[in-house]
Amino acid sequence: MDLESGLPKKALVAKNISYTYPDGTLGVRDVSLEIFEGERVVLLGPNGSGKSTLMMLLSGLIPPNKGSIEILGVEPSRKNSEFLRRNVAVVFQNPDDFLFNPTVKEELLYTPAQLGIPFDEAIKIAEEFARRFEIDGILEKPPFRLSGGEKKKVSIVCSIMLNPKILFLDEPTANVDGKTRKKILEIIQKSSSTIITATHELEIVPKIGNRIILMGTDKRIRADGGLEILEDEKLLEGAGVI
Amino acid sequence: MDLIEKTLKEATNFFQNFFTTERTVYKRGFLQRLDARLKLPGMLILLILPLSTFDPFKLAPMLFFILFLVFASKIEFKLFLSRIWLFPLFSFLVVLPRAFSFDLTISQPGLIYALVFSFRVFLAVSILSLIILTTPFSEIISTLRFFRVPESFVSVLVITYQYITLTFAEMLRVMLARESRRIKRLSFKEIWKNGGSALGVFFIRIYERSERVYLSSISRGGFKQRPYTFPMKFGLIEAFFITFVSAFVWWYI
Ligand SMILES: Nc1ncnc2c1ncn2[C@@H]1O[C@H](COP(=O)(O)OP(=O)(O)O)[C@@H](O)[C@H]1O
Ligand SMILES: [Mg+2]
Repeated sequence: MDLESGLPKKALVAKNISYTYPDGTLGVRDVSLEIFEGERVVLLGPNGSGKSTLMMLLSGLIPPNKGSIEILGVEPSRKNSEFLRRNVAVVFQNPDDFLFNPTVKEELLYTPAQLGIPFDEAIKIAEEFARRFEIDGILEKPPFRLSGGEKKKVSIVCSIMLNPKILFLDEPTANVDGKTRKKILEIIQKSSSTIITATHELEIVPKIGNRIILMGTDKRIRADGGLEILEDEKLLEGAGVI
Repeated sequence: MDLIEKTLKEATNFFQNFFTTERTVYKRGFLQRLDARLKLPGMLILLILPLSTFDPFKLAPMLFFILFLVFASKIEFKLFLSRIWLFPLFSFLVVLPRAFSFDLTISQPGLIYALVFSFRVFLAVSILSLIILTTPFSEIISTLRFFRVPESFVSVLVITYQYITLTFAEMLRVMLARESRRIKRLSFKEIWKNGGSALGVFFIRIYERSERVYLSSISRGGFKQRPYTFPMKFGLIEAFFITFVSAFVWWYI
């Protein structure tokens, strides 16, 4: 809550953003949205509807071709990139794109080192999270030798370790076993961050959010509202999720 | 074809393993405990010295020192050899033609030259491998920064490292995927044709993946080279190492 105005603070504002990949493929088309601090938003849409692209845009990692974005009140730019990196974390859809250090331990210490957090503090946090997520047995392994689920867990721990204000999770429960899935859903439920989760799995939507932004195969927003969207079969069918 | 692909897969595995050290780097052996700020310059000296001579009597003691380091650092000998055998073999094959004279008889000095040459390669690669096997990558980086190696240079090294691991991991994935989906054996002509497009696809994959990895490093705080540093250690291990390196320098001069 913003104490002065008594209104919830805006975490993200996007106005008419579009993105086309260099090869000419349309990524997202004309997206406008507002997300408030503490909200749990689900980006729901079929494969190729632009969810991953939208996450890259909303986290300030790639600039839109058209439209404007504001993250925690600032426009992404070189000048305030440090502020954004401290407050915004993204878990990529594919852990092989996300993890690039020689060992899991070095993965966990990467962001703290970049942000200048003292070593003693960083290693304490890293070890605690590693225990909680049962990756303490693989700290010395190289990430590319891990199983899919382990890679995912490591990516998620890397991102939530420093308690970001905004957390983007791109298909966090794809290709993980039941136990890990439960743990991931638990993190989302317990966290106090603003969380935006992309998924195409209808069943998990109520567990990870109370607001749905539905994307269609035309890479536009088809609907933006509460969980009642899950009841609207026609809408879901039109968007291509069922 | 099978031979080519098999060789390629072996080579890929070989190079990927060369940079994979989780089985040795965290053991509490001699080199692992040695302060990296002494280890790196010291090993660099040991690496350069044998390249300054062709005298087998000067080269031989280095072999014993390397063997000592391997055992004192609790590195399995088999694992150590499996990391490096390809390099001296390759260099031997490269210089071997020089051992033949015009009438295709092998000359003894030529053969000795080829052997000594590959022995030197063996020594150099062994030392390089010992550094890699006993030093976490982050420690190598922080040591370079300690010696005021410019950040831009260190960044290039880090990015190169990421590229290498990425490239080999990707190459292995592509080859396994191809193998798992191959139904019939192809003729040589077909392989030649498909091979070209497969290679093209491979490079596009590497390129796009490296772009996403770049975005990932941005999202995770950037890629400034500011690793953690620790106070310098100086104990028995360090004193012993310095003594040995100095002795070698003295013996060579
Ligand atoms: N690097 C890229 N180059 C070109 N087109 C891309 C690239 N990445 C994604 N696309 C295209 O952009 C569209 C949206 O993709 P994406 O955001 O990954 O969708 P989703 O995450 O919903 O599955 C798709 O049509 C996809 O083919
Ligand atoms: Mg996606």
